[in-house]
Amino acid sequence: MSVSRIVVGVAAAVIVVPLMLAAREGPSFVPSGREQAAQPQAADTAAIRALVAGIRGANAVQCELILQAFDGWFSGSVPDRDPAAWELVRRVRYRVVDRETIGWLAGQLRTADTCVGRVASRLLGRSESLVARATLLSALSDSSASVRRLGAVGLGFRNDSTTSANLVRALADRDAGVRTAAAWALGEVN
Amino acid sequence: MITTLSWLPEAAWKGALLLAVAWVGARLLQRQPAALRHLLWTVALGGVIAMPLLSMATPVRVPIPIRQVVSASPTNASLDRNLTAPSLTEREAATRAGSAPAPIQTGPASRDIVTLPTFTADRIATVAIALWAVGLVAMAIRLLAGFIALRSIERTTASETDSDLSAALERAAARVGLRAVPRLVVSDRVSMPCATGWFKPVVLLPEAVRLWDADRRNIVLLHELTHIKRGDFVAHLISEVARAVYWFNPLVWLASRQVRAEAERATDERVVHVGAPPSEYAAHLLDIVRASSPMRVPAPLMPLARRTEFEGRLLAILESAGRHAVPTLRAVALTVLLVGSLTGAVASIGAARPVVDSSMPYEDDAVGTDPRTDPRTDPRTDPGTVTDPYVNPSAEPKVESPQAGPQAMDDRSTVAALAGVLGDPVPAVRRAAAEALGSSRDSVAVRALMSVLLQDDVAQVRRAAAYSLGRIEDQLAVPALMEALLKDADSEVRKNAAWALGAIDSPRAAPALAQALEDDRELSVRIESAQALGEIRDVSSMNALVRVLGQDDEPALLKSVIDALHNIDNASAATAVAGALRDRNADVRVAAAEALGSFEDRAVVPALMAAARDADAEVRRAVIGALQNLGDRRAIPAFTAALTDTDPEVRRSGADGLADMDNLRTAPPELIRAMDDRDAEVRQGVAHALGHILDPAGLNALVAHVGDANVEVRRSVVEALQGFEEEEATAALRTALRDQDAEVRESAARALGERSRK
Repeated sequence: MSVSRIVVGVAAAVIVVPLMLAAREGPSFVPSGREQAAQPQAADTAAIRALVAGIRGANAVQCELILQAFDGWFSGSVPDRDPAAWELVRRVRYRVVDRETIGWLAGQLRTADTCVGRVASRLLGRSESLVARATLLSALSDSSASVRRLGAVGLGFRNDSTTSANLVRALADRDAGVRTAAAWALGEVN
Repeated sequence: MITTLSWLPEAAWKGALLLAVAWVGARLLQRQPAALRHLLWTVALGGVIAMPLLSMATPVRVPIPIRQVVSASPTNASLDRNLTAPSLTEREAATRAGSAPAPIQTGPASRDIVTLPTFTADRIATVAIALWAVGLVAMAIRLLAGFIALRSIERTTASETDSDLSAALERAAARVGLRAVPRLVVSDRVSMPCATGWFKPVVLLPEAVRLWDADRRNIVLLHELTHIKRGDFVAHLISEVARAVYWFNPLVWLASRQVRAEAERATDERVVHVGAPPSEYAAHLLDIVRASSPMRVPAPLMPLARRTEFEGRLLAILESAGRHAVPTLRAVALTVLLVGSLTGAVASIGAARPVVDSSMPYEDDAVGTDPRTDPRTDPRTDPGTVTDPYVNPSAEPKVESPQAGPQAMDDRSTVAALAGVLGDPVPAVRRAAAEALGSSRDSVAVRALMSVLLQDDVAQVRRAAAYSLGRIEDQLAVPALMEALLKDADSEVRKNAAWALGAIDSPRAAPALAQALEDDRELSVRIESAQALGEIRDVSSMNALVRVLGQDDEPALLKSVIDALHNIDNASAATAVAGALRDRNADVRVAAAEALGSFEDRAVVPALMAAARDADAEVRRAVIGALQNLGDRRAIPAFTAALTDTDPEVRRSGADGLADMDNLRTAPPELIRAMDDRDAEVRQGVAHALGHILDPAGLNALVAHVGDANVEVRRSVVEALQGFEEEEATAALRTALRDQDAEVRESAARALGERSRK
């Protein structure tokens, strides 16, 4: 075998394998100048952090009510929770968040507080930011099953059919919760 | 849609598969003319280039099972039974299963806030894509530079004027059958004879040609003109493009090399075929290759021979005597057909489609008909037990986004993937997939959901399948839903099936729904069946509905049955519905009265008049409204009695009923007295009725209210007075000219103007 063939073969291996990874991961996004220009005020970041702090430690019932309020299904008050945090739910639920907050929310997907993770996935899913989209796509291939689930749920809230290919791949995830979330999300985004 | 470079790996491996098969085919064609092998490699490389587009456009996908790795961990086992929400986390699942929640992350410093997920895979992918793009650009530049160099040679070199050479060119062109003689260029910038171009072909010869004898010149010209005759430039270009796009794929390079080699061999065979002695031809080629100086050849050129690819070619020339040089038309057609079919087959390899049992008795259903002529874009809520928007993912509100795609799932690969998940071992996954497929409009989804509806062993999955089939509204699903409605052991499945049949709105479902209405042991299924019959509005279901109305006493069921009969709007049901006016339940009596009002069967007037004394005000309102709709004079006493009802809405309806009565010329005293009713809306209605009847006995009551405290009443009074010609009416209208309300003044002025004209 000639040297040139060996070189071509090695080059092929070096290129094809990462390309396969690229197909698994989806595209990387670099925010455009327009997106960067559309960053919201710092007040939003503060509001989101205050909201997350307010809901941290919510029990299962409280969390369900918070999430229903987040989705517009519940407008009452949550027992034993800070009314200020409650108001923040309504204030931030459809807001575009800035890159710094997206990074912070991405970290919340890993938190042990389930309710915080679910709120974070909704906030990321409802953000029109492409950085948030990329974050959720990355979460979809995280090593932690719970993060992958939250990534799929967040994508379900985006109503963005271009994420279908990633969600279809998640249907073969080894974790049943991820497959469930991916199936649900596909029903939402298509 | 290609939105990323994700098509490239798929196209690469499919292309590799195609080329591997082409290699086997070329081996099998070893004894055939080289032209056939050249054709095979060219078509295969063309298929490799077109693979991404073919993969998207191919209408049929060959099933490849999706590998599902399902861990048998306790967490998943508990999920199997308990997971119902899509975003349920492991912690929640563990909590529901009664076990201690596993901490997701330990370590005090990073308990709640952690850094962004790492993007290692993303970075590798980005680098890979960049490398591929660099290679593509380099290859494209190489090809472009070749064309520029070629153009430069052509422009800077005059066409050959050597008469001997030109005459030899014309003779050679005639021998190979070329209609137009190509341009001949002799240049010191090429070391080897070459041919290039498609529409305006050019033969490039080195300066050494002037030293060659006539035989060598003739043979070389024959060779190059044969390339032009065969159109080898096109195949050469295809191989160059394939190499540029798939430069990382060694098989493409090998195939490209085969295209060049077989083109030369095919040309050699043709040259020998037209009369060149093989040994002499081979000797000339060998001498030319030996004498040529190593010089880089522009990419678009096909040199007579390459030092690196000369092996074996001489032997092939020597053995080519007597061999067929031109393949038969049949062999060419067969090769193109086979390689083309193979390309299509490879392109169609994709994700698994659902396995649909071909023995299912639905093959003869109207697949092609569109049942969605009356689409209900606002479907009813899930009639199943799941009402929690979090537990029931389909109830999650949509997020408006500028990127929002079509509402119906139109990506067949997504549908196929979700349909494949319907075979997942975990019920929660199957259920989520079944619900997601409700967004589809694809018959693949319908068939997969039908299969789940009839075969899945978990009721919740079957419920979701029935619900989604109702959302899709495809008539294809009617037989399966009917079977589920009548045979499923789970009442929620039967209820969802009934709802779905109503949503699909097919008269074929009426008998099954009627049977469920009469025989099902679960009340909710019977109610849903009645409602579905009301949606379908098929007259054949009348008898069953009427029977239930006469035999059952469950209010919710009776109300649904009456509503269904109301929708069917057939007067033959009037008598049965009239009986329901005596039902114990007020809601049933209201529904019956409302239905009777729409039947236009005046035989029910006595029953309605009797019901006008009902103890429930809502029933009385419905009854008076029904009598008003029927417009029968026998109802006048009921309307009159209604004027003294305790309920103002009933009193108002009574006045309206009298106002609508034709040829009524005498105002009942109750009506005149009602002009003093404490309720303004009643007074307004009474004024309207008095203005319609025009009985002078009612004039004084109207005049007395020309200054009513309520402006709406004053307006109605002035309108009513316009019909009276008495002096009192005129005086009252003059008074109204000073009203504070402009509309009252305007009406009064208009009425007075009319009078003056008379």
